[in-house]
Amino acid sequence: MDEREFDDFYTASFQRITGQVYAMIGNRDEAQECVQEAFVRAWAHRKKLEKAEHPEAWVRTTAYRLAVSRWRRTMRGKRPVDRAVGPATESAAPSEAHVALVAALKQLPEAQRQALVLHHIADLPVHDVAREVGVPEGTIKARLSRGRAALAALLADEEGLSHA
Amino acid sequence: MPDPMDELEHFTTPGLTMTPLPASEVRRRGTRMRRRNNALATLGGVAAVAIIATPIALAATGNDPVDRTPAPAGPSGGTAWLTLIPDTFPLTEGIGGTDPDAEERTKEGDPTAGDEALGVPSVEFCGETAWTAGGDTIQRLGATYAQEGTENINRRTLALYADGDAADAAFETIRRAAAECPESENRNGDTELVEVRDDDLGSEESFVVVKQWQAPDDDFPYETSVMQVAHTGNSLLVTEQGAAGGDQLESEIVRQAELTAPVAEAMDAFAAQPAEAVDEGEQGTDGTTIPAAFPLLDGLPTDDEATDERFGREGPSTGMDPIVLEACGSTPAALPAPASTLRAGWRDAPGSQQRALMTFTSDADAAAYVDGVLEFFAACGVDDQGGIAKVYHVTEEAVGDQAASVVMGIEVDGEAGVGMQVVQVIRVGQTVLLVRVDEDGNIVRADDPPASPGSPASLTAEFLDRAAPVVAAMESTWG
Repeated sequence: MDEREFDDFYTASFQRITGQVYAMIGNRDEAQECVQEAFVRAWAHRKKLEKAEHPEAWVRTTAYRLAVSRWRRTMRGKRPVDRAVGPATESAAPSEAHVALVAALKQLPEAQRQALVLHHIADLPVHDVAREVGVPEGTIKARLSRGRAALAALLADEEGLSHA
Repeated sequence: MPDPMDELEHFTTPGLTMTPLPASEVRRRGTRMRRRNNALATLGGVAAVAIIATPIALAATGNDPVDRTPAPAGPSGGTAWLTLIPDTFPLTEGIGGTDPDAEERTKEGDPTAGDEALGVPSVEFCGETAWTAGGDTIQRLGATYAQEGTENINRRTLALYADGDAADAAFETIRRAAAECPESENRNGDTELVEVRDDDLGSEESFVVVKQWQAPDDDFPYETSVMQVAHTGNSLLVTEQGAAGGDQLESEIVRQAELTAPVAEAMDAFAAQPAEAVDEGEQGTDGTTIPAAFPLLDGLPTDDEATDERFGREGPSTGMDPIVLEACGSTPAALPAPASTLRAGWRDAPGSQQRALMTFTSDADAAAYVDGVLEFFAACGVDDQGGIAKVYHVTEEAVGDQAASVVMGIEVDGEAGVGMQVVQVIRVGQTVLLVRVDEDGNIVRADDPPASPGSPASLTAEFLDRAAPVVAAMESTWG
């Protein structure tokens, strides 16, 4: 992958992948930082990226793993020193429905949330989700089924509360 | 209530203002990361290093790289030879002189395959073949630079032999054949004059052969060529290029030597190396064999840093005791068995840093090993022994294909106590690097900020940094 191909790939997919990782982890700034770091690693390992059947999946998986690792440290109060990978972003307020959806996603078990995002937001078929996550297709189907039910219940609760 | 699936499928990122770094900056940081990771990797760009212990040699016909499985262990302290030409070997450097389009006009490949003559396929004197690029070479690479419409053609062939003796024999055969044929007549009745000159090209040994052709009635040669022959270790370089004759010949020889110098100097890669003793029992098939020169010690403290001369570096060796993992009074059960293991470490009075590089027959087995280690420590969590607890902090790491760190700290009645252990598992493909660090005098401060010395994050970062050159070598070999 030469410089131009990488730059085109980066430009075309950065926002999309950031949105997907954001949906998975529920933190916009964190998602952008991790996706940025994933692209730095993608260039460092571009030979591996060239061989990857789905380069976007490679970047997304790397960004997600970075985000999970940093999120777990945050949960233990051991957040590592943030490396500035870009200027601070300004985020305008999203809609109420969007907030509710992201909040509900965050309440799902990680595995269900990841499956839902990859299938419904990244638009990957079940087979590709299974490959990216590294589990059998049946496992993904089960996670999707349980995730949909849980998400519907969470959003219904939220709807009920907001209209109370 | 809107359908949650509709909401998901139409998920956008409103308000997510993106200000990503410029692509050029991303590439710059990626390049810096790659250089940092490769700083201590074995011979840059080498996909594999096949080690042969003399006196047993692996020979192969054709241009297929030799089987990476080393020969049965010879006497300890034997000589190792590089038997694969690295992808980054600069055979074509300078081949086109100052031609800015030299790269486009140069072709590289096997000089013995196909119709197109790549490199120097053979050498003849007095009608007799003194050398061929095939023969008993085990690998060869040829390059030809040709400027269309001119007779400006430069050729180079790099040939590898099973060992230094075979390369030296080929080198001497060419020299002897040239020296024994100072003058001959070709089919046209023209005279071919051959002169052998010593010339230092930058390799272990080298000489130059000047060939000139002269018509019967002429006083000056109508054609001149310069052949350079260089030898280092088990490699032989043969080049051939046209040269200006007459008064310009001497300066032409100097110019050709300058153009070839980078190539001759790069042949240092094929110089004899001492072989590490390798136990026969640990050898596996392709992919599971660990090169004997694998830099498993890189990043560990040196012998000078030990507090006593009894301590310091250990290995690499296949004969060291395995690394034992223990938690909550037990050891991991049913982990996949590695196909090969290489051990190394550093030991000092206050503690030790031990490493085991393991290859498995498949990526899945290697991944199962890592998963098994993680699950083992995560299941223990806290090993409370009546007021003195061992607390295990497990973290997944974004290193290699799969990685995690486990930091064990001691708590005495809830307060940080003395004693620390770090276990790290890093997988690249079918290989796993297992690291265990024990420092009895260290204290894990789980509540301190991540950047503080003694915090689990700081400890894992320190030992990941130490392992970085090994991981880079794993990626270079198995990535």
